[in-house]
Amino acid sequence: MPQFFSNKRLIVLLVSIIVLVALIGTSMKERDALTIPEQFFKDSVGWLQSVFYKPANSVAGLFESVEDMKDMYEENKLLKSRLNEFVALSEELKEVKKENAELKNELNIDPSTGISNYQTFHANMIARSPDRWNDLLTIDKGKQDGVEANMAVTTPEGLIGKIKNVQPFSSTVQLVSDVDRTNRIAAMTQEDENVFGTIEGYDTERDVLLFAKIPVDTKVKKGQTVITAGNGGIFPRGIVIGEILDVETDNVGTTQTAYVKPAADLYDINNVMVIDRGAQTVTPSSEEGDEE
Amino acid sequence: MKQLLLSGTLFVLFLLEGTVFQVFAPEQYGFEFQLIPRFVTVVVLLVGMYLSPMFGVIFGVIFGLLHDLIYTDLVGVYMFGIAVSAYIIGYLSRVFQLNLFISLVLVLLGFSMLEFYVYELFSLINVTNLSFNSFIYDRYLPSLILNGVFMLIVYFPVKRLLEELSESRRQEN
Repeated sequence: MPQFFSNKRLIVLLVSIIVLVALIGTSMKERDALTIPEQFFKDSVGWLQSVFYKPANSVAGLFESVEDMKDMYEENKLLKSRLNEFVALSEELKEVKKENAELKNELNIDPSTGISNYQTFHANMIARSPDRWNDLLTIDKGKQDGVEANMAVTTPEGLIGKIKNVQPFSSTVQLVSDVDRTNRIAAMTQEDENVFGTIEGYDTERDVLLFAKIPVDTKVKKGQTVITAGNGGIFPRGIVIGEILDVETDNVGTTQTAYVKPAADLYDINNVMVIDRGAQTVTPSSEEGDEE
Repeated sequence: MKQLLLSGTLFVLFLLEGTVFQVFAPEQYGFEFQLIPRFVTVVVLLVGMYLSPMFGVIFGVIFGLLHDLIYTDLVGVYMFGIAVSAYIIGYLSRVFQLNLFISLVLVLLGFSMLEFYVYELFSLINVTNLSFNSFIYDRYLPSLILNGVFMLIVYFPVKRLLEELSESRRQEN
């Protein structure tokens, strides 16, 4: 193969390697927004993807519901027995909420500015990154529907990720399992006392999240539920992330790391909720000024 | 017309990878291994073999770039990878008398080159922390089988289309 290593082609190869490195370098940088052509491509392909995804998903859903029907009777019995419990609990919740509102009122806290206050809107997943290196989803709501970058995305079971990029009619969700050094979430557990830490990464082999930077003198136990802390400013407090499987002290011995099993199934995702904490986090002072 | 059909097929395969195939991905049903569909790459490699390496590179650049833009954040990784493996496989194929078996081996070779290149690159820039062992057993081998089966399914129709295309190109010249 004399042609294969001809000078001209070798130069083309070397130039394209340089271009590759430059492209990766520029696109790896923290970017606030995608360029217009990127947005355009993502949006138009996103529309086509939804044309393919929705029928496939409904066919899969049909099989699933046939499967579900087998367990329906058992499940129904169980649920009926839990129903009374639920009524009691919801009464209690109402009571507690009312009391909370009253207490907040006494302390002059505007109920709408709470750290755990948010509204949600629903979206459908339309595609998922086929190479598992990048765990990104595309959903069918975009800037036009009020989605903004960095909003939390959940399924009914728990947190699955955050909005990474927004296009006018679709947006990209970065799952919590995506290995990326910027993919960090402030988290906490609230069993007896509040214990804060950060979700710092994902162990691809064990399929667990790493809940790190927990102070070594605090007690974190197996089975505790980890929720978002909400002090990052973008996520509200109280979205379930998962359950602690195991706790380890770091090599240095100053912090602990807990392994957290995500509450949401990161693969069986259909409908997601995007959580909008609203504008109150951006201008808390001006809102307080307007109050009187 | 035929060229349009080829591009259209590639684009539909590209969409299927991210949508329909993801609905039936094995992780949903609790399996450990990953099946990575590289349908576009398989067909691009066949283009490189049966049409010409240059066409393989062109389709590789276009669909690699599309893959980069839509499914990842890093522009250039797949664009470079698919194009280079289509080029190498395209030239390698001239050494052999092409038949089903040789084509299968060459396609799987090209797929392996892409997969190893992407794994090494992404390990280098910390996009993944998967160990080499689980890369091989949970990801590479199952995907190799999946894409091999896919290649066997599409081999004859794609080959006929590509041979007609190269025939009409020869007549034009």
